[in-house]
Amino acid sequence: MDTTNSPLERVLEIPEIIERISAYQDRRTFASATRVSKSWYRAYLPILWHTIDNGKHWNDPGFLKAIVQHGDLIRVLVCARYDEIDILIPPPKGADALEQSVSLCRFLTTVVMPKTASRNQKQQAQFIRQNPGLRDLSLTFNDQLSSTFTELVDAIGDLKHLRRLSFDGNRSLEATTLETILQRCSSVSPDGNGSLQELSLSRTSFLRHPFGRGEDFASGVVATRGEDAHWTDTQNSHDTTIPTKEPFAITTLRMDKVGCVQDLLLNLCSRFPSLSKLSLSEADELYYSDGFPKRLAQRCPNIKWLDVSHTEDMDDESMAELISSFPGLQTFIAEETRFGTESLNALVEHCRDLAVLDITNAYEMDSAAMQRLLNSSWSLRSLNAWGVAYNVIEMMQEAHREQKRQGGSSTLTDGQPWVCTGLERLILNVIYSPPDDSRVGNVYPPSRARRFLYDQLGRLTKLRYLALETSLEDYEDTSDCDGYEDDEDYYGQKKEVRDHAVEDEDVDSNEVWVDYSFKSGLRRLGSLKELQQLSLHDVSHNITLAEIRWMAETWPHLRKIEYLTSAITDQDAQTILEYAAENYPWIQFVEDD
Amino acid sequence: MPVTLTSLDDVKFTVDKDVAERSILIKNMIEDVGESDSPIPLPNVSSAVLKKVIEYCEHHRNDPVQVQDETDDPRKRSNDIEEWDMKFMAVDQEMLFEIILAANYLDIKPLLDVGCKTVANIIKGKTPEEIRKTFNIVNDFTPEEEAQIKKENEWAEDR
Repeated sequence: MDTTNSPLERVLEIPEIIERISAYQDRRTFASATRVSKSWYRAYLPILWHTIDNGKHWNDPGFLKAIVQHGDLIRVLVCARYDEIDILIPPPKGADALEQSVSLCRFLTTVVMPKTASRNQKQQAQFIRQNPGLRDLSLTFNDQLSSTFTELVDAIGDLKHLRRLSFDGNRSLEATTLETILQRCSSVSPDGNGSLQELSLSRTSFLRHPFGRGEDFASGVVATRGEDAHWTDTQNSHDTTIPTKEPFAITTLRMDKVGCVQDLLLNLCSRFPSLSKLSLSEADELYYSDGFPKRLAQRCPNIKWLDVSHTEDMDDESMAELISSFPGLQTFIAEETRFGTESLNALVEHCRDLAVLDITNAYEMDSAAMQRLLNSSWSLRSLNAWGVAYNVIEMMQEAHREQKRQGGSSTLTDGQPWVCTGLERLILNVIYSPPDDSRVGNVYPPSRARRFLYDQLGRLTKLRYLALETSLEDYEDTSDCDGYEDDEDYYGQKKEVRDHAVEDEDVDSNEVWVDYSFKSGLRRLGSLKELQQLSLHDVSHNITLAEIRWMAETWPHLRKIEYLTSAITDQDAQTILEYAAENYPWIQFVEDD
Repeated sequence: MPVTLTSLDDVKFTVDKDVAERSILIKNMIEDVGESDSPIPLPNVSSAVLKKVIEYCEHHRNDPVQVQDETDDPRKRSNDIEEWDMKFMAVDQEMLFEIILAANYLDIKPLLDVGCKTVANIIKGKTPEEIRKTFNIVNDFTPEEEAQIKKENEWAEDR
């Protein structure tokens, strides 16, 4: 049978299609595919060799033989620190400097080099020169001072397409070396080469480092401190005007897991006025003084993306000052920090464009402030506030206060509604915790709070991922209540499945909480047409087969439900999972993290 | 406002504009030509395939248009296919690959994705011989050549 022009053969000839198919496959499949036939070999060989990132292959003689033949197909190469660069490019023979070694790879776009030492400097330089298409380069200068690596620096400077440069974990990068490289690769002048936009100096301890505090690197204004001050002393840090130098085109700076003083950061940033993304996550020792935020904002007014997660050095007040210095902030990541009410208020007051906020496991926070955030952030797309429980009563009180402030003519009886209707991702813990004053509890009984939450959620029609943990704390219903079943328990105990007919919402019951049952008001979430994932982590829910059916039919894009079975009996879980597997096979039920 | 599409074998199909515009190629053509009654020629797509493509576009006419950055990172794509699409793709192999080629030519990314996922799932975990059997492929390697390639790529089979 002649298959030379079959549809399959035609597909094999289109690399873009094969790439798409291969995105859903693993390397073993690529290897298998190359052996099927000659046209399959031609189609899959570049896929197989595209990314090499597993150091153990260097020990495999078969691999070493194969790389000689196919090295030119590699685009992404990740070497381990102690790999031998000799494998990729032979060492120079003899003293004849004119003789050029030939690299096995010449079309790399991304490379993580092995450790840079004076022994292999020439080879690394030649290797880089023979990969002029490099866009992403990672090196570590470990031993000698970087100023001794002139050939290497020269080779880097000649790269015309370099977008990202990383010196993570380096121990000997000097400011003059960085200056030389950036002048050649990150120039803002129209004739210059401004391709380099991302710089990474993560995992570096700058505290006793040849880079110093970057005083010679700074432009326009230099941050210094008094002569006798201890190197961590920030008290005497101040700005002095100096001549301006050529700025660089860097827009992203990563200094994760660094140890450095704020002066270094300020001096570095003074050359990056276009900086828009700054990451200081897990910064080990980063000593700030009070004026730091304003001084940083003076140098880099365009920062829109800021990550200060896992840092302890900034308290709530300082973080609030940082936030208010950057009103253009769109993304703020402060997971596991001392982010608190003041910071939240600062975001509400200053950052109108806030789109992404991650404050997982931040410190305790004022629930009214959270309501204010949801009440005012039109641009919010993603909110992860896991770890702090927000009291829905206080949120409702704030909603009413806001309604009054705005003239009090809202059609919703529950105060000012959430405006963040563009929200796509919401992770939130909410509790119902009435104060000792029982009047408040009577004005805002659980039934009302429940409706409030469901109604607000129902407004989030673009929501794709929802994880809402809610709990009803020690609530005692003192009002008249009839008709509740005694055997129902809403505190996380495993319960019997109700296989009677679908129930309607019990609007007035104070014993029903936000548990995704029809009785609680699940149908109010019918508008969440974009919902793809629902997480029931830690939620005491009352979902039965009826609710699952409704979800599958009402939320056409639903693909995943997490932690369903943790709150129901094993038998019920089995019933639901079997039914769902047969009727809704596209919905995944996931139980582990 | 209906739009007429003409297949390779000169068959005309009339569809609603919003359905036709699931194809970015057609969408751009309509924008370039402006309001016009003349049919849009699709010389690369046969009528049998075009019929299937139209069926897909009609079923998915209300899907949100996929944003550029969502489809660009392959690691973010999930491997699952929804039920209707699974049934839609249960066709013979020739048609499967013709649909993929058409989706590529017409620039209908969701359809291309579903097609590619389907093929990826078919190939997954199969040995070369099993793949050949599945697609009726002739092995045009000599035994020596095949052994050579196997040896060469042995490192990749190891996980």
